[in-house]
Amino acid sequence: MRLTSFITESRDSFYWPRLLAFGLLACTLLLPLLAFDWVTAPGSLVLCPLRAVTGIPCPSCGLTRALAHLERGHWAAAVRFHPFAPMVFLLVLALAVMLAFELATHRTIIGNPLRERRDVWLVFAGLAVFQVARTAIFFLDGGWSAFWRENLVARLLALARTVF
Amino acid sequence: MSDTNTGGQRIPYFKNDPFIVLLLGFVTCGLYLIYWNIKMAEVINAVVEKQVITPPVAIFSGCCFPVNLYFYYLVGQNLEVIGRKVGNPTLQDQSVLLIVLGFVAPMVSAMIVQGEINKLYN
Repeated sequence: MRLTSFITESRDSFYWPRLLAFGLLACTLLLPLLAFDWVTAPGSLVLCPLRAVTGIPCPSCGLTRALAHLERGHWAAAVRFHPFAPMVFLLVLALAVMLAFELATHRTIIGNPLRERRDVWLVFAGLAVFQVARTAIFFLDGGWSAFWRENLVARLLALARTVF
Repeated sequence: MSDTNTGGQRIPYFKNDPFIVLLLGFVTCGLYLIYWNIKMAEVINAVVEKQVITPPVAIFSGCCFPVNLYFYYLVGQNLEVIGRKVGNPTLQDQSVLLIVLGFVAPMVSAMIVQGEINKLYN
C-alpha cells in the first residue's frame, strides 16, 4: 500500500489511525532520546516555525530538549527547559501504552477526559495564562536581546547587511 | 454572525480570513492557533456528526508537534466527508498535503483548512 493511499483511505479503519498515532507518540519519546546531542547542542536549529519568525518561544518551545534531558535523568534541566515536561512525558507514555493495548486487543479503552465544553476552555485558559507568564519571564530574564536577534525581520536585515 | 444549519446539525460559525489566522498565530505566539484548533474541531465534529477530533487532540495539537500532524491527518481526511455532507464537491481529502505542510509550516496548513471551511458558509 502506498503511503498516500494509506493516509487517505484509512479513515474508517480501526488499526491505521491508531497505528499512526502510536508511531507519532513513539517518535515523541524516542527521537529526543536518540538524538540527544543534536537536540541539546547550544545554538542548534530552531525547529519551531513560530519562534523562527517571532523570536519568542511558543507554548511548547523547549519541550523536545526537556524530554531529551528528562529521558537521560537530568530532571532539573528538563524542568528548566519546559515546566510541563514530566507531565507530558507521563501522558505520552500512558497514551502509547493504551494505544498498544487497543491495537493488540481491538478494544477501545482511551476515552475523552474533556467531555464538557467548559473543561476544554478551562484547559485553554490555563495554557493562555502559562504562555503569558512564560513570555513575561522570557523578556524579564533578558530575552529582549534574543528577540531582537532572532525574529525574522532582524535576521532578514542581518542577511541584507551581509549581502550589500 | 449566526451558526449554520446543515442536515439538522448546528454548525458553529467560524469563518475567518486565512491571512488573519496566520497573522494572529504569530502575534499571539501560537495561542490563537490552539484556539483555532479547538474551534475547527468543533466545526468538523458538528458537520460530520460524530466526534472525529477529540478536544484533547485539538488542544495538544497546538503544543506538541506529532499531535499536530495527527490533527491535520484527521482534518484532511474529513474535508471530503464535509464536502459530501454540504454538497460541495470542491472539498477534497487533503490529508497528505496537510501533513507534509504540517512538518514545515503548520500555519500554512491552518490557512488551507480555514479557506476550505469558509466554503461551508458561502
